[in-house]
Amino acid sequence: MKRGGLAFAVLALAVAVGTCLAQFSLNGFDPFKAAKDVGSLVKGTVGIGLKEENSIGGAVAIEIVARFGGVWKDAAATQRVNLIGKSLTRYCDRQELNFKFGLLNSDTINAFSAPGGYVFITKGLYDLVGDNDDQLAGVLGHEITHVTQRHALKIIERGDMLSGVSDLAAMKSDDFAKFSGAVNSVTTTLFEKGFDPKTEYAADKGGRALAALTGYAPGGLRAVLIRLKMGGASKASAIFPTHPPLAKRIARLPDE
Amino acid sequence: MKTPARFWLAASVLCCASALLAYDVGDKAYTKKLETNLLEEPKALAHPVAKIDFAAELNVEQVNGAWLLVTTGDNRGWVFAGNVADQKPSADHKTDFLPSSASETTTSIAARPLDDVAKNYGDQKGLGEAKEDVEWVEQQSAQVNDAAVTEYLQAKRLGEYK
Repeated sequence: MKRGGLAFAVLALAVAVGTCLAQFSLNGFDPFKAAKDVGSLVKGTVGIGLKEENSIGGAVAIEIVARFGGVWKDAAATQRVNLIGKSLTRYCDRQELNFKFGLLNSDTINAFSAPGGYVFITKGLYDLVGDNDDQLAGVLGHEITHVTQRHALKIIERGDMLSGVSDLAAMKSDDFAKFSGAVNSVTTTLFEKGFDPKTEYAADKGGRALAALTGYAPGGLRAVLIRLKMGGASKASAIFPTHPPLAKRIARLPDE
Repeated sequence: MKTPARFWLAASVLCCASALLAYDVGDKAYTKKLETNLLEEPKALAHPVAKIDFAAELNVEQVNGAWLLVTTGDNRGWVFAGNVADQKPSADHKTDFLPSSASETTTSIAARPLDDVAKNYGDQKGLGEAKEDVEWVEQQSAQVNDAAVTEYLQAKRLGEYK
């Protein structure tokens, strides 16, 4: 009886906390919203518009494909990734983007996104999730959130790297150098340094929410991370080397 | 006294639903698509009662799962939570949308393909093969158009068709 009472008290607290969290994000101060607001301010000051975003994203996409063995041209698998990916983006917060989803011909386990709506996952990761749509949706949701929250663009904006470039399409040599530098800052982050942990956690949270809203099991991304963690040292050391430790990411995602 | 397993199952579902619920009665929501239908009932195939423009403010009057009963001006109807945002999109973004005829692409025309700047970048960096691979992805992606995604959502009972 005592155990039951304690269990109920814990449950009641959990429900109350859950409810508070839901309302907290709507009516009170929300640090993620605050971060978004700061991003908007930066955008207003420096101004990477959609046209420039697409140019940068296209160039970054080319670099991703070149770095990871080219595109795995399996039409059926590519169609499946696009169906699940575009189901998610139907409900994302940047409806003006046209997302494209592709597979990289690499056995490593990784996923990437580029501004403008390019999303890639490696063949290794695609094989790992197998026919589990919930897990694939979790991974894609994470990458989509990087794009919708403009994480890569904020790196360029913070560095004011396109300052003074009036027309990228004119491709003057000075402008190309600046453009190339901006692309390099994104690829260095993607391939070497990684986003800061706060940004990755935000992508985990946003991806999970998007997957759940679309109707996929909210625990899909967490299940993938657990599978990676349980996978042992063989590939685990090379898995998401630029991301925060898997244990920390798993701990931050709700257990369901 | 042993707590029944179904109690914990129900409790975890309640916790999850609570944590995922994004809107509450009295909140504001904003349209994020070029046009958003308000529906007579909380069902994707219900009769539309109004068509709302981009970035309009909606007042949430009732929440039914992932569906919201909203009002805006003289209009009142149901909208799927995934079709609205909790922050107002910049009105400037309205011009960023492609015309519907362009976004509803055919099998051969990709919406917003690699532009000349990105192509030039690929050429100057000696990444012509990777550039062609990206173009292949764009063409494959273009085959999965809005109609195909709607059909998929309906077949899998996802999103507003759940």
